[in-house]
Amino acid sequence: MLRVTQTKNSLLDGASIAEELYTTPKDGEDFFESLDKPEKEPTKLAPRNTFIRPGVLTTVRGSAYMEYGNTKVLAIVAPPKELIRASARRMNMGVLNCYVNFAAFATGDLESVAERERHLGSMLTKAMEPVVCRTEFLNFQLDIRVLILDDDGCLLSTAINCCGVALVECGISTYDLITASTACIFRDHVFLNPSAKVEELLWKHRGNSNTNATSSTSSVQEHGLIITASMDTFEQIAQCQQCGYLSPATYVKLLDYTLTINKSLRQLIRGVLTKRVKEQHELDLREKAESALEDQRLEDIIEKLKKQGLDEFIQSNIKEDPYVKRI
Amino acid sequence: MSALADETIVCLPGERLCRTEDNIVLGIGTYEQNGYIYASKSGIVNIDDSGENCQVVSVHKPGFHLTIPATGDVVTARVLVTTPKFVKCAIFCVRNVLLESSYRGLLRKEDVRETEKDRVDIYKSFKPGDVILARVINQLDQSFLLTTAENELGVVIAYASDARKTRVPMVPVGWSEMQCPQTTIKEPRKVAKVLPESSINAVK
Repeated sequence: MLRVTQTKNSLLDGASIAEELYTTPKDGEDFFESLDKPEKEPTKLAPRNTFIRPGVLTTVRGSAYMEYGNTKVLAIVAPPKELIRASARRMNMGVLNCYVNFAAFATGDLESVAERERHLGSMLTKAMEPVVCRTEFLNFQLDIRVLILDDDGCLLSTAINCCGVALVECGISTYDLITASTACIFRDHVFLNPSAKVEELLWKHRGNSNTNATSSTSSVQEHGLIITASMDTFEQIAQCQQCGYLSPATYVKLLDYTLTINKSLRQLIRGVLTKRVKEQHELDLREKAESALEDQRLEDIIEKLKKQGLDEFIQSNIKEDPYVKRI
Repeated sequence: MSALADETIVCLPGERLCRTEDNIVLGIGTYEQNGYIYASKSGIVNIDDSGENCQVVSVHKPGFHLTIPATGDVVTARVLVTTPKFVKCAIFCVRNVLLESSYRGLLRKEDVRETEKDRVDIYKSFKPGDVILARVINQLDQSFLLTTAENELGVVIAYASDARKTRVPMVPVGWSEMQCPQTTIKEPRKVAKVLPESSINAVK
């Protein structure tokens, strides 16, 4: 999610541009001014430009790649393993583990990577647990691995979407499709699907208001970020993560925004998965036709041999032993 | 219904398939909630009404599908350890699907044979290294509980204990004995009556 430490790594140039933009509070202000601010009440509730492709890797059974704007995420699901120590978590449900890893080039801030990975992993596990039919694989352990290739905000929600697709692709029973999205509010401006810059600005603002407890005008203002993962068939919310300071009315407003975005994302994922099923169905049919052809060929050979007589067949297949001298 | 069965219906997880009724049975890839049947996998809806006045609704996923031994499945396993009370084995094949990784199976002494259960001796039935056919009866905390209490279940491939290096499998010479064709040694086993594939298809 948001980074905690605010150390700057000047050695990395490309990735650290975003940080150099506002090294002092004043720069932050400037950046905020330069930002094209959305309207106070967003009119268009839509996800970013999205690209999802299930089954990108041939070496793993369930994999999915997703681009959400500039955020790029790859998820793989390994087939369930047996739990070695059943006593560790004796439940009548399977165990789900999510691991998140940043690619080395994904983020400029290398120092907090390990912490963020752990944080994201645990939140992802919580979000995915309600979706998977865990009663179907008792004392099995399911590992989901996520690789973040590029980070431009909305990391957790993109990872949840991507994992959902990868799970379905792997053929693991799920109760529903899961979709997630992010929204945040900063200085009365609602940012839907905030970019990394906005997220960081928000975090900085929050850090300031925490340290300077003096009631400055900015710290009283509403600011916060909300991530909602939902399953629409039963109108369930799989996970709702929020940070910052939000009044209940704003909270509900943001929640509604994210849920609306989830709905449109769901349509997109449905389309992708339906296409995938049809694709694979056709492949299956083709394979079946090929194997039927092969069977037919073998049957013909057997039929021919039966007509020829078995003895002849055996005779024709026996090779002469080179060590036996012919008389 | 017949008109629907001809065309393929694609469904995704969470999609409502039909209402639960007495004559509708949940198949693979479905679950029941609030009186309706929902799909839990992406795939093609399959309605099988060959059974007696009941229909099985299942979802078939094309391409790869995950196989976990379920209760009632016939599995192929390799015997790893034998003790007087039970046999530990590694399941490597479920029905006709080869698994990517093997699962643990446990065969208790009571489940070896249908008759004379109290006179079963494990060491007269299995030896480590044998390949057996078994049926899953339950899923314990640690492993799958197996049974070979059927004529068609038991040892399929076995090697004589002293002639293991030759790798010549023994030939069954009765319900409880196998013989090595090279050394003519007879060893006791719980032999499975393996049916040829053609006869199984004929029965169906």
